[in-house]
Amino acid sequence: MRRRVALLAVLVPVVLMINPADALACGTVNNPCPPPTEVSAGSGSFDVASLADGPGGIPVASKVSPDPWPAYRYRLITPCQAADDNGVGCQGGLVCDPVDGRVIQYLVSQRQALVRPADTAPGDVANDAALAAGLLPGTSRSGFVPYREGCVDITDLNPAPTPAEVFAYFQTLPLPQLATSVQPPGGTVLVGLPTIFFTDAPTQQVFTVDIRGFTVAITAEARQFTWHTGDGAGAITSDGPGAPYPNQTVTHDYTSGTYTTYVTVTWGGTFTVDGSAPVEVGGTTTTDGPPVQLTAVQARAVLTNPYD
Amino acid sequence: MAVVAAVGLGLTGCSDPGTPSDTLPTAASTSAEPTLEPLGPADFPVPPEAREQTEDGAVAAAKYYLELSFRTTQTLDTTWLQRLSQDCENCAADVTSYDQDRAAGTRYEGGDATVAAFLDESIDGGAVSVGVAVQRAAFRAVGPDGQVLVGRDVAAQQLSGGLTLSWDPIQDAWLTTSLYLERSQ
Repeated sequence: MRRRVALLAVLVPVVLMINPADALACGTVNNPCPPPTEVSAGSGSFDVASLADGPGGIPVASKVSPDPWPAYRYRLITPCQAADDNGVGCQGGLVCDPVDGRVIQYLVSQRQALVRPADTAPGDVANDAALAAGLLPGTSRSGFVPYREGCVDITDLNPAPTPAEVFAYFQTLPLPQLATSVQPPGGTVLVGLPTIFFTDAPTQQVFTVDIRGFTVAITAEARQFTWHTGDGAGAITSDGPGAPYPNQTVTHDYTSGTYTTYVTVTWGGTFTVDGSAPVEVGGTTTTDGPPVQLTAVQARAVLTNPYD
Repeated sequence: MAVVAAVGLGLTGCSDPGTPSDTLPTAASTSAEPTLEPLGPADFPVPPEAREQTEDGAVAAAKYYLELSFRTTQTLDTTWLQRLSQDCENCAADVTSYDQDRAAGTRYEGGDATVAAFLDESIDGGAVSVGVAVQRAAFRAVGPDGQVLVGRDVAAQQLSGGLTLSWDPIQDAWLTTSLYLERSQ
């Protein structure tokens, strides 16, 4: 059957499943962060050891640095997180061109200077000052300072699937094509008597998919129903699947003729990653149900003798 | 900047162009030093060197801000921590922590800190990144019943990290705009 795909108007590259504030809970005077034992993907941001030049000018984030005494480590956060930090508005809709097999996201990079042994950083006045203040090589000697903003290849960090990434899978799911039920049944409806539309097929379905090793449970939900009446009167839209008599919610009045009707269902959904809290899938898709032929006829009153 | 403004006023000589003066300005009016509004607690004011719009001034201001935060454990008065920071998430978190301690009747014992600050780099928009190294003595937070609060008996710490600061031309002072500290060991 035909299938149409609609992207949400704004795709915000949300990386996080957890409130960003959680990731920034430490670092204060009263709650300094623990010493970093390893540089890894954090729960609220990505802490990475290096941002190396990559193909197409897109830097590649890595958990390890080729330099035994790197000058910096980096933190990657979403533009919305950065906006929160700065107390300004958030700019959504920043997406990067996809590259097969790579995870590339639009992120704000911050960097933190690290103390290096004096012989590996000759002439670095700030490093000398940090050493003179008693800081050991490898420890931080600054806060996280804005570095750059743009697309970053974070494939090596093995990030959890994003809503946009899950949406790509969502579009391939075998979503049900809901059949239209009509009352009166049998393919013949009456002029002057509202025709009832509904579908009694399941409007929610759970799919489990593997995305880069993550177990992603997608709950697809039928969120909008567009009933095509076939008579040129336009479509009827409803939030629910309708219901049979006497609880009908979707009806249409036909004039005499033969018509083809079907229902288009708009599917949205949420997903969880390895049991996380549910997150909205980054788009919706539609399915068209099978067509139903209807003949609308004029009912005529006929006098009959009930005792015949 | 305040000096420039004061000299400028002195050269123009008057604020009412319709009233010409036929006397020279007095010595007092020409030699008066521009005075900055004092900032900080009366017993721990912002030092003059921290109010210079220079990189060294930013370094002095960062040192002062951290020292003020550590001193706040004794007063739990966050007035100046708030006034000398701006859009600083971690600064606000510390303020909230101190305010909660004050409301709960908590007091601190120990925790004297020595702060070293040094220039990291100047960054866009006139902001300055300052690195810090802190030696903080062991401390503990004690509740109104005299009992040490759970999880708040803290061993001596060596901290490192940094602050970023931006110049505030209204107060003629550096404001802390971000703060990050981590334990070095």
